[in-house]
Amino acid sequence: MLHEHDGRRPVVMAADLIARQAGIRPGMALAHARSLIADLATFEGNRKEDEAALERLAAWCLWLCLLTSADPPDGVWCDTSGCAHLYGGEDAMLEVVRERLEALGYHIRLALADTPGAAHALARFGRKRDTLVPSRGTAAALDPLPVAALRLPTETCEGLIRLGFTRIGDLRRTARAPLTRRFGDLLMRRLDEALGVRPEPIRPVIPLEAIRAQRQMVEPIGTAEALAVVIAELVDEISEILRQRGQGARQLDLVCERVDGTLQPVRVGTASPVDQPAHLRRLLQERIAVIEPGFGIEVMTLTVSHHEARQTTGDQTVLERGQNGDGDLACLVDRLCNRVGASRVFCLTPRASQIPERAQAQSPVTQDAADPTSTFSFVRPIRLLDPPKPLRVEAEAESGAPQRFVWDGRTHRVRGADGPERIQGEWWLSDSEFHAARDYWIAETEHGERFWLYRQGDGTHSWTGDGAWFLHGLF
Amino acid sequence: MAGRTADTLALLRDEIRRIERHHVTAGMDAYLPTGFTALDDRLGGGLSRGRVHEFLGAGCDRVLLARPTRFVAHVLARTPGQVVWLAAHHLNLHAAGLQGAGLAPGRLICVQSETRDLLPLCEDVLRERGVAALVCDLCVPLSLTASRRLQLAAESSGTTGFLLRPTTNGAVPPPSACETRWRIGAARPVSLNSMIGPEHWRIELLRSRDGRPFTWTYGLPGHATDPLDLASSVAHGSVASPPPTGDPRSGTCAA
Repeated sequence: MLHEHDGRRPVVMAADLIARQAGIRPGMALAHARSLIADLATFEGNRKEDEAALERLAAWCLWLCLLTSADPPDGVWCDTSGCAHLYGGEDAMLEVVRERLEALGYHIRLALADTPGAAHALARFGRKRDTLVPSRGTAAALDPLPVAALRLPTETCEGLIRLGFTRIGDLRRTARAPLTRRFGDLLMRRLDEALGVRPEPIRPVIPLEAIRAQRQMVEPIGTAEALAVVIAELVDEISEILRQRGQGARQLDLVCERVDGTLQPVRVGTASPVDQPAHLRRLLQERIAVIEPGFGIEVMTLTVSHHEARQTTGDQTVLERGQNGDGDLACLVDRLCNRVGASRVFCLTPRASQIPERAQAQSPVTQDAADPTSTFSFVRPIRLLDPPKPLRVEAEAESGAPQRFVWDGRTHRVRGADGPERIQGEWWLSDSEFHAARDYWIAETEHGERFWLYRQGDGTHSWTGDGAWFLHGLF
Repeated sequence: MAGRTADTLALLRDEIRRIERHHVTAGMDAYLPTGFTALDDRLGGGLSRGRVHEFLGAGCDRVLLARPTRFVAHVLARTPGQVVWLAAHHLNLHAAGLQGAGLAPGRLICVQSETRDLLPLCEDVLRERGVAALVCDLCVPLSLTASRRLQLAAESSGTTGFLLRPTTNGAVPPPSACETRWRIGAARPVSLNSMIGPEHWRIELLRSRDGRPFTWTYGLPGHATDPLDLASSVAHGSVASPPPTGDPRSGTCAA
């Protein structure tokens, strides 16, 4: 528990979960708290240091997105527009954030919404621990929250509750003028900000020693060619700085300020530190299509939000690194990653498992990955049906081999079959696989087509599987 | 340093070769050998490098395209370099099967994209010189213009494109500007006992820019996905029948 002095007496500033369960609330007198728990451990709090720590946390959050801001006393705003795809969607992004912050020892509540105000409200007053508000669903999500969620002074909140306005929904549906007259314009401003009617800029944290370049245009620009020219200039400037410092960029943020005051962020990442202007230029220029210039772009800022020391080889030939990133595999992989999402560019690597669909993993493409030597011993089809398709076997031989089956609306007669290859379930992974077994057969039809079929279970014991047949691939 | 210089020289030679592409009639490097001897003989060395080739499946394999995939993997196994494998949504390749066909899974860069991005991505990758080939599970219709664009992209860089095209009801897709179009399926086995013996492939060259359609039937030794080591088995005595000049345009090879 932390305490502070409010001028008259020491009061509780913050309490942990156990203390709160004992009835200790922030704002309570320290003597009162001590009387509730005899062996209360209290330390003196320091709001200034807390704020500084929050600023540091906001700066730490820059890995997530390029605009973050502290929201004192206890929040951090992150403007993740255009970043979610890098983590494989918004759900996955929240997962990542939670994981990383919890690893640092924070207890957090997350909310993702269209406006900073709404996110603030939902993170503190939402029902769930993590809230994800769909685009345009802000009003509906805010309606059931108490008015205190709107970042209003305590007097205003109390006044509203006295008048019978307990929920944000009540405020939204009532006439605005009388309320403004009574409580001042802050109330309606907060409401509009939360609903996104009035834009609320957040003051972004600018990391120290950021490598950045900026161009302010005399005339707003809007064509792809013009953007490409500016990007090329910015990249040249940045890569010069990077080279001098011996660093390579891992992540670049391009922020375009439009005439109407909105920001258009573009973020690109690289797999390894890069300082080649051609490479970076190509990455950014590929993303021009996602910039919406609107009435024109006035200011463009390029920031290196993540950089690492680069291992210089020194003797790269000019030809290898072509003029526009041609012929450079790293550049290609980065471009593909930025285009379709990093999780959708991968290598297939073998994994030790007998179950065919688990026998491979998707791993990120790295430049110097040693070719994995695998020990595949049995024949496998080159493509697997995922999930395996159920099929009807009309006749089975004594050995258990399928003799006639229906697939794709046609009956196939089996000319020859090879099997069974029995694969036992991986009981160390889950209980349901404890006795499970599959019998795989390679069945050749009269027309010469080869099917890879399996039967769930060993055919005699019902606990190994229900005997249903599946098609898992073709040869 | 010596190694670097050699690299640079090799790259320069490559560049010159590419510039002179139109004047070169038959260099060893201009073709990707398929490993099917009779096929290579007929094609003058293999599939042309820096072009786009289409592959269709037959029978039950029309959608899954297992045999065309194995054929492509088999061709790629004979050439060095990275391969970009592009698919819309879900890529159902199986690493063990690839390994079985001779292509090391580590050489693949797999990309899953949205359906609408598929063709632009194809074109982009084909323009790339750093990769040996592009394979695309092309589940979208390919217009004549689009195929021409792909072909030009491939020619500009020397990267070979392989389009695997699933067909739904057995209909052959409309003509495209691709260099060749193949259909690879199963042939009726000749063996009478109920053992799984050699696999029988029917390889049809449906369209070719500078040649006539042709059909081969191959018996592949061993089990289904063993590396298709054909050269040695041909040397065993069973020889490819000489391709007849007139009709019927087909040949049979036992290997």
